[in-house]
Amino acid sequence: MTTSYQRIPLSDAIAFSEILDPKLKTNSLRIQFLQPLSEKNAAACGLGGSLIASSSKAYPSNAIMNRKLHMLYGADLSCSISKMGDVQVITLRTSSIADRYALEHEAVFSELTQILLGCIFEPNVTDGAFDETEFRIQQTNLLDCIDAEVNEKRQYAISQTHKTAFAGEPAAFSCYGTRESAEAMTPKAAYEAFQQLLRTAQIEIYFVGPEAVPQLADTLRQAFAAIADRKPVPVSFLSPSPCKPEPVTVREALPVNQCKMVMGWKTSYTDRYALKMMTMLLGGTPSSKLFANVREKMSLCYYCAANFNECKSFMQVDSGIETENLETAETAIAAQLEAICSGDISDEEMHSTMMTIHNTLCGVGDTASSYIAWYFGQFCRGTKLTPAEEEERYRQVTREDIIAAAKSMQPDTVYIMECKEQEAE
Amino acid sequence: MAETTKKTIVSPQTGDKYTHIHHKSGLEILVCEMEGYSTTEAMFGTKYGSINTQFKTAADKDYCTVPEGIAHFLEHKLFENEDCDVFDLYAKTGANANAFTSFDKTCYFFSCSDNFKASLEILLSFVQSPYFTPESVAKEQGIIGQEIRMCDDDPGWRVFFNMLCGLYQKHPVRIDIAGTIESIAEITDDLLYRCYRTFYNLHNMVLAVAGKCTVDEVLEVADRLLKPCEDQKLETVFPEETLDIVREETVESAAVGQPLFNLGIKCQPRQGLDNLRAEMLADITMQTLSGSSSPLYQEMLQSGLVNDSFSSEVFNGDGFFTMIFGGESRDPQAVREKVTAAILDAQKNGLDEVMFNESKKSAYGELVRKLGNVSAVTNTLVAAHMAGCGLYDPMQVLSEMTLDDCNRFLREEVDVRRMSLSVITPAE
Repeated sequence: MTTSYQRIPLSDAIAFSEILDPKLKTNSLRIQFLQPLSEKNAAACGLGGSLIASSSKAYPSNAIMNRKLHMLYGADLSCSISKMGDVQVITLRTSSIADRYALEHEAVFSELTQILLGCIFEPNVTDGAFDETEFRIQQTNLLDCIDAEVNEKRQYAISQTHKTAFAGEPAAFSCYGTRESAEAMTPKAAYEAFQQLLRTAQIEIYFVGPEAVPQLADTLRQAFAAIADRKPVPVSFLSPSPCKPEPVTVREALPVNQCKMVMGWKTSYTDRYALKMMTMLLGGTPSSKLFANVREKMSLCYYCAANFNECKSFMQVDSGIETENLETAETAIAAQLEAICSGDISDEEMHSTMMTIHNTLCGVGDTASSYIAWYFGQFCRGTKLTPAEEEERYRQVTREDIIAAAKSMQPDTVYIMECKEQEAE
Repeated sequence: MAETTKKTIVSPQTGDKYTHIHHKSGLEILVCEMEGYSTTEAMFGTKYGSINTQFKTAADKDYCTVPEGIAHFLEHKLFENEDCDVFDLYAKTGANANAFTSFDKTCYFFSCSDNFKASLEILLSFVQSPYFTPESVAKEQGIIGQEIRMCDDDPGWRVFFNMLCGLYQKHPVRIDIAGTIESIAEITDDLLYRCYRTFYNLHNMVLAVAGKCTVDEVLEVADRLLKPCEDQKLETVFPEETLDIVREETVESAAVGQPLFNLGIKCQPRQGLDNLRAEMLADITMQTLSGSSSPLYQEMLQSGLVNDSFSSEVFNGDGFFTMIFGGESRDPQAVREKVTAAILDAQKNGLDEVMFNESKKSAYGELVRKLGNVSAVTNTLVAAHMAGCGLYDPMQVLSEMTLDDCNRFLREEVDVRRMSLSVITPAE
């Protein structure tokens, strides 16, 4: 895949990865701040990150900043918030077309890099507080984003499942924090939260582009050296969730036309390759057991898919089901897992699962995002594998390993979104 | 039988290129060889979508009217061969395959990193081999019924269709792509065969391939598997639609956190390059008027009337053309007032020149980005071809666009009396 990759430590818990591939038409720079997810800080840090990306001293409002970005051929400069297990990931990202496509041969990317560094180190701050107008805008965006979680029913059902499955663990919290904490924020508190993030977060920086940008590593090293009193807090990506003594079922009634059901299992099995293959074989592809049987043969759900959350050692099957089919579907889904436990795995299933994995791994490197996801994944697991090496690990997985992975699954949580009676109009 | 001919199309702006093949079978094939990429994507599409419910060929005396949702139904059923499921075949090659039906097209596609020719063989074979029975049709009615109910729970989908119903009186664009539980109950295997024979004629189709591939590889499989056919002189018709709208406002409630809105303006539909020019003029006009650095957007954002979900888009196709502003707002009616006032002001005083140049530059960047993405190139090749254009035409149209063009478009094509607002409010 890549023609050149190097990871350069810049200072304590700050590293810069440079990925060069001449076929790319864009330059991308991503700065990922990693810290333990906490209900108390999630909203503050997320809000701080959004404010950092929206304006700076040099571009002191989102309007002026956006105007500049448009003139840089619609360059992106934004902040996103996500979680990986118990870790909150706050990402500042920029990307632009490669300089060779600029109509007047402008140095688009170096200007964009300076803008991003200006946002972080010369923010739009007065007397230790973010600009009030910009703060209100970003606070509204965050509150609306929290409120809108229910709009996308499938994702909402999964989030609700995680609240129960990981109760008492950081992974139960939303990466955006709570509405109450977002509402309670002030321009000063948000700025302090971001400064704290700079001091304590692990920072992973990625550049992906067609060719090296001279002095980029040095520029970043110098910029990040300005952070005073840095005391990085270690983060742990792998934090298996303990299984509940008794499985829990949660029901929630919403004014919807179709039910959602998410079933969750936990495991203490540690072979990630066997676990991932088992999950794919169960419900990760259109030829998987869940798709072929529960959807196609039994017509019980429109979608029915399995995913494995490696960070929490948690497998989930999420589905969209008619009310009258809920019970039958729950039994049918469990039966597919049981079938794997009892060794009902054909050569075709093993082959097609492996082919899907091969296809996915070979595709790493066709976009800047896939490069970053690959190397960030290696960082999280503390490995330095190439996709080809990873594929070889999958090839070592035997049918017996997959059966053992399936047998290790303990039922933990079931979430059901029921259809609330709706009044006729 | 005609001969296969090839033509290389080059982008004067970026130097990118692809090959346009007129295949002897009657199919148009577009191949973009992208050096250095590991994946290949192929898309086999027919110009047949949910709006094509009335049609005839040269062999038919009268127009035939079919139930709403049948194009989408056909897409589902085509994945079932006489002896196996198509996904089982793809499982052997490792390709990631799927399909979609939109308002004006149905496309079958796969992406792969190996076994490209074997996967292309599967694609070309199954799309040319329909197999429907009364039993399999009955079973699919159940699955699609579930899909329809799932989409009913998607507020973004509801707010969009309610807007279309507020704008279009008769044009089938106002009907959900999947149809209704009632309309799909009317579908039979015979009707499916009739639609298949009409629209899945190679003269009405296109194959696009991009990424790690060569023209020779594609042609080797195409020569072997494409079944030559006669052009049936297909005609599709739509009920007559004036520019008058149905209603100014539609409000519905659902499980949402914030009110969602779509504000649509009905415009005159166009064809081919004229349609592309109008689409790009509408897009740049809306960006200039309401883009993220515009006074209109900033005023609404700072007053808390909208959040950063506010956006605009052009929705156009055969017989429909709509400019849409959408997002979340506590007061969508106030957003309508602000947008209306901004349009009227720009019609009178002209669009801001600086904002226009920013929007144009930003749009150019977006077009360049797309050319570096295998999936985007494949999709755009198909969409552009079906719209009567080429992959690089948008860049050419953009480079020739002036502020005067946008101002003229705004004055002559945009009428705020043809505006319909759709709102989804939070259910109690």
